[in-house]
Amino acid sequence: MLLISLAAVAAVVLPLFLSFGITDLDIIAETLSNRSFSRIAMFTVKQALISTILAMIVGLPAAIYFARSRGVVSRLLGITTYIPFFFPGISMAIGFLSVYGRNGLLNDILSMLGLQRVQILYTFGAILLGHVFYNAPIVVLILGNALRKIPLELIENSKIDGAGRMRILFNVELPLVTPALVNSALLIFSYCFTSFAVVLILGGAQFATLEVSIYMYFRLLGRPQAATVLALVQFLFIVLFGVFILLTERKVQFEYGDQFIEKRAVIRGYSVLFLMFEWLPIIGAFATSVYDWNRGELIFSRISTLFSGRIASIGTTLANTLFNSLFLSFLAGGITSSISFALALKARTIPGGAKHLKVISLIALSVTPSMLAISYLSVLDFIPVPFLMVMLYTVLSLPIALNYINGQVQSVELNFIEAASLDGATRFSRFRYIIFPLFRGSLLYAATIVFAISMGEFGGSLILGAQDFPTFTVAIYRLNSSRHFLEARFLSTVLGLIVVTMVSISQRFVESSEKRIHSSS
Amino acid sequence: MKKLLIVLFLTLLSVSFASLVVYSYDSFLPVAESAFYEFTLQTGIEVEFRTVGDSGTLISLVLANRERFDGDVIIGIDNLLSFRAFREDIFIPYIPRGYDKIISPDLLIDPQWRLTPYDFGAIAIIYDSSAVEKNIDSMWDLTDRSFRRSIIIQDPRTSSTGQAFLLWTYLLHGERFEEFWRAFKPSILTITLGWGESFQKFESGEAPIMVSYATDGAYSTHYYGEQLYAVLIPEGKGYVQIEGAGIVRWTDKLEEAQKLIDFLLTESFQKHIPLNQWMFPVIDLEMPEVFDHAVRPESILKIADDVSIEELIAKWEEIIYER
Repeated sequence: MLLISLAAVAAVVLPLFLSFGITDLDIIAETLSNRSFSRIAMFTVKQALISTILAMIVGLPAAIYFARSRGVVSRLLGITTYIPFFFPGISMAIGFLSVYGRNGLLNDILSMLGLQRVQILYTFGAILLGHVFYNAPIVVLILGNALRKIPLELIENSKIDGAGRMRILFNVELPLVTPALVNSALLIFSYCFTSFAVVLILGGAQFATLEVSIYMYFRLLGRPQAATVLALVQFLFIVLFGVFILLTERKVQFEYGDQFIEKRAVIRGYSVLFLMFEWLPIIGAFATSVYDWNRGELIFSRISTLFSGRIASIGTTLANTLFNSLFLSFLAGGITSSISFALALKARTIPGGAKHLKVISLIALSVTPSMLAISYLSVLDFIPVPFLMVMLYTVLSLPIALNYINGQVQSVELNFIEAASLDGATRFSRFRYIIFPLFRGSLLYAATIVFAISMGEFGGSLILGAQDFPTFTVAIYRLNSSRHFLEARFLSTVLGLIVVTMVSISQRFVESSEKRIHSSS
Repeated sequence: MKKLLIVLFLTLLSVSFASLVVYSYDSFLPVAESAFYEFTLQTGIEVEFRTVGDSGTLISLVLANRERFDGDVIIGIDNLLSFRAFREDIFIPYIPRGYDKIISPDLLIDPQWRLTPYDFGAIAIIYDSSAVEKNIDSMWDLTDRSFRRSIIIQDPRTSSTGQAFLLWTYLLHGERFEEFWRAFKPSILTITLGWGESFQKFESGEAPIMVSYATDGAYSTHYYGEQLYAVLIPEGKGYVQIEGAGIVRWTDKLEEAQKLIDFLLTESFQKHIPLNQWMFPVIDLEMPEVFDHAVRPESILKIADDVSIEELIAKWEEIIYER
């Protein structure tokens, strides 16, 4: 575990402090005594707590349906779990406007019914709406997958013993997946605590979080040391919450078994509503990206220039940026899921290892990608840029990949591996024939999440790869900043479609892999 | 001995042909691509152009490296961020050739010439004239009850346009700055991360007024073939964002760096400004026709050296968070 802590420090904290080390203690006092600091910190905690509770409540029924069914709705829920990682801020803003805006779908329906239009956006409620939108899928991802792994026999035995549906859920299922519950809550709290785009796009600056102040010091005022102080404060808050919630965690292991399938109309209806809530803004963003509603025309004539070779405002061809993104994201997916898997397996053998791992992984969430990228540029400038970019993607996606894989690895009883060892199986053959096949689906799932996160990352990519390795998101950013909004919107949709396609393909593999395990067990 | 001579020759060769390393913010790329090619043709000096997100991030990179920083020239520090750069002593003074061609002394960022101005543009109010019936003659008119929740502005903590607007209101109202913001607050619908988010909301009809640039009319005519929104600088008194370039203190290519700064004030460079940066060049130049739709302020409001933007932001935050 010491090695893991050292690796985390080497990857995140060390470059940061070597670059912007707080040499002057006055900076800490000055930053923290800022008149707005306590108000912003209090608001940050408040919105993160409420958002976490709401996202957990909204996501739980959908997670249960996802775990207990195999139909189209369940498959769509599976794809929905990737929304937080591929739906970029630029698309989210336009998507929410098209559904909840003054001239959006909901207000149009109200107007058709003869009712007054209402102001949904730019309120505290809108921030909660945005956070639930982005984070409830995490509950489906982590909790849903953990629930899927509870063996059929356990639930059927409870039924035979006379337990009702709710009793089984609260007394059998949820206690069994406590690590996944804790993981979801911890991740969602961390994401909401460090939330930036959702708060500012849907709420407005009157609802600013600590992340807004970090952005201000680092990117507008050129005061990286003050930004580092606030990043440290952010990390302490998250760790505090992490320690508090981890105290409630109990580890219960169970053997791998068949998925329990049941049909429940109410929970299916809820899941359909949940899917609508998640997909309507995405459909809205898509519609706006191919049709210019203000001028009443399709935008294809405008976007045709994107495919005619080198684009001056991007500085290269679109194909080049797409290749860079795919190459780096695939690489990051493979590396990060392998590291997470190795760490999670190791943590099983050390008392308290899994908890330690969770807290350490959250370091990366406290630092904005652009700060990390600058610190890499100044401290690790001897490493080639593509490697630095993969390293950045790994650090940024490690919390979610690690938490997901950890949830999977910690819940499963692996005594039979020891039995295999006693039977003379070598370490390699145990891994090759037992461990890897058992977790292949989870690994692929985690790799796809990392792929989606890496494809969507732009703050750090813009700094590290601007010259030699511009990515697809850098192309979108450059089009946006050169005021080619329609083209930027279109490419955001293309990015979303690429990720959804990759996710769907990977899900097929996951399903077939799970089927193989089921048939062999 | 022979080997030594070869190494020495190669070292000299690499020194004499080493590129001039120029840093800027990311959206400067199209200008750099077209203009620096001409610079190399004229002077024989190769330019290695690098970008690091935005200007504030660029300053953060310089501060993280200081004497290890490998850039020779930095382009894109505006009059506001210049205070920070001067405090950190990043640039050395240099009066460029052609400095007398700069159209107004109001455009000089620094009397010591640590930064040479190369473009400027004003902040303005844009509005949908079909939705705004009341005349807007001064900034105070925007505090009228009829404008309640009608204006989109940018956050001065995350957007340079937001900072410019904050300063504009300070320069217009001086001691009444806080009074103005208290009166203006109910007119704000939302405060956005950056200009792009504001424009997206404005275009979607969320609000009829937003804080934007005085060249919006020119851009709209160029891109969409028509001027969609009215542009206004109340009372003609504008706050102008002036962007400058400077020679990095730790450069070992001083002469080449000076030549590049000279080049920034030539027509060869300045002609690329209007349609790429959507700003005004600092020398007299024939402008593209679409710039007939851009608004120039009648007078430019200048920032005093003792104005602390951080102090202004702190005051602004207090007002915005008041219930």
